[in-house]
Amino acid sequence: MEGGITLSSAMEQIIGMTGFGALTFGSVTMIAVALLLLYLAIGKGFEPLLLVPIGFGCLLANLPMSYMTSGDEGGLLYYFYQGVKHEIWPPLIFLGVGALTDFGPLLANPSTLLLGAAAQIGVYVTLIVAVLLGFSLQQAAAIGIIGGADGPTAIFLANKLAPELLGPIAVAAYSYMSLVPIIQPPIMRLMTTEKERKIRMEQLKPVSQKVKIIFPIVVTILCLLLLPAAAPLIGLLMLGNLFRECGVTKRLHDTTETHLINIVTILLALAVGSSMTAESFLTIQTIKIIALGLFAFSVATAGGLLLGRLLMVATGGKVNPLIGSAGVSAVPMASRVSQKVGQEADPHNFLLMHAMGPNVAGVIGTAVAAGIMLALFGESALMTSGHAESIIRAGADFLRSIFIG
Amino acid sequence: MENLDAAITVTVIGMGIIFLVLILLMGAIMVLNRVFPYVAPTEKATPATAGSDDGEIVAVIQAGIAAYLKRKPEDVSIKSIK
Repeated sequence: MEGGITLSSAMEQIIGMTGFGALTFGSVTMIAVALLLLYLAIGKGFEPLLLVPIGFGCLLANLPMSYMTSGDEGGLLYYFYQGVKHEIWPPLIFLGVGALTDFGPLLANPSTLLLGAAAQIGVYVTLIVAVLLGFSLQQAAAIGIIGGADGPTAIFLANKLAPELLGPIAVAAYSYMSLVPIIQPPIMRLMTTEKERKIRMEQLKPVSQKVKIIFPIVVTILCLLLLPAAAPLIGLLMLGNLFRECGVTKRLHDTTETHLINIVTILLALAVGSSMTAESFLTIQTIKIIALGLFAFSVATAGGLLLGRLLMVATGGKVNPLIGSAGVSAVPMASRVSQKVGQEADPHNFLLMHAMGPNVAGVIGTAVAAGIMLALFGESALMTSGHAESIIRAGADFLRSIFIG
Repeated sequence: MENLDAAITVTVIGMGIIFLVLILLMGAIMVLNRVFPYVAPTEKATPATAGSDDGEIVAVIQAGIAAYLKRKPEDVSIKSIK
């Protein structure tokens, strides 16, 4: 026989050509992780629009010899990943979110912006704990933003500050966002009395269309003058909202709130899934990040509730503190949770629209928090030698002068 | 320890800036609401009374609302349907 092929050598050659021969413990474990994500999304309904493509991307990336990881230059998902790397997909998702968001409840009751700010405490407390657990400041900042309960912002910041942690951060952010109805209610019941949960709020006043049109322009100018680093997120969020409210861009609005956001979600989620390889995911850091994510969500919820209680006292009982928990982004799920917990105490109490104010304020608050992190730890900040250090040192001196004298 | 100091400082600076930005936005919204107050559209309301063609529908709605509010139907009056 020509070439001297024997049965065993032929079998060896064929097995060597398949992926079976290249399977490792790591890739098998990651395939199991991918299947778990798919089960959670399909079987349990946890954020299916995101976890299905993330789980499938993870599956593709970990099947050996398929060249579908985010790092396989020339592979399909490598190109999808460039949209994450060059910060294209998360801002485009924000464009769609802006087109979907009605800022009316926030404009009708602007004091609810404070609740969106208070919930960001989850981001910063988690940053401190992450540093205590041994993460660098950049990694800790990327992990902390999970507390903002905003997936695109978490991906955006993780890619900028700690790309090696992108997979676990994205999975933690989206998993906990889907678990908001389970995580928040016990904290809400613990931090409020039944009497407080029964508080009925006055009906929101209508807002003029002119205010709704001018609002995104004002936010863009004000926020980006104060925090230019937040431009990709806040800029596109507000452009999407302007499409919605201005009344002369119906086609653009229709596209951004449906087809565009859906297409970009597929590209973004597949790209994130493709970054979940055994080397990057199967580490002790992943377990820490998953635990820190839960901590971040819980502290953010508690922060919003605390300020909610403060507003309740300040207004003489006109504000139901339950709307504070909606200050974490997770639109509109966090608002629905406020409504549900409120109705457990009083079935005729309708908090949904009141909670939408802090909920959309949380989106702006998280984008601002991300902008601050980028300004302190981002590439442009690090290019200037000692930039973050000098700001932090100046801040520390300032605080010391206030508290110590 | 140095990182912890930095993390605490970043927290104070960060929360301060977030509150500052959102308080400024709150002020801007209040000004906008004053400058451009909501004006209700001046549509001509169509009165719907028991005597009109929709009388039966009005009666059904009235009974439904009264049952929900646990009141007598005559305690509920429907002035118009828009």
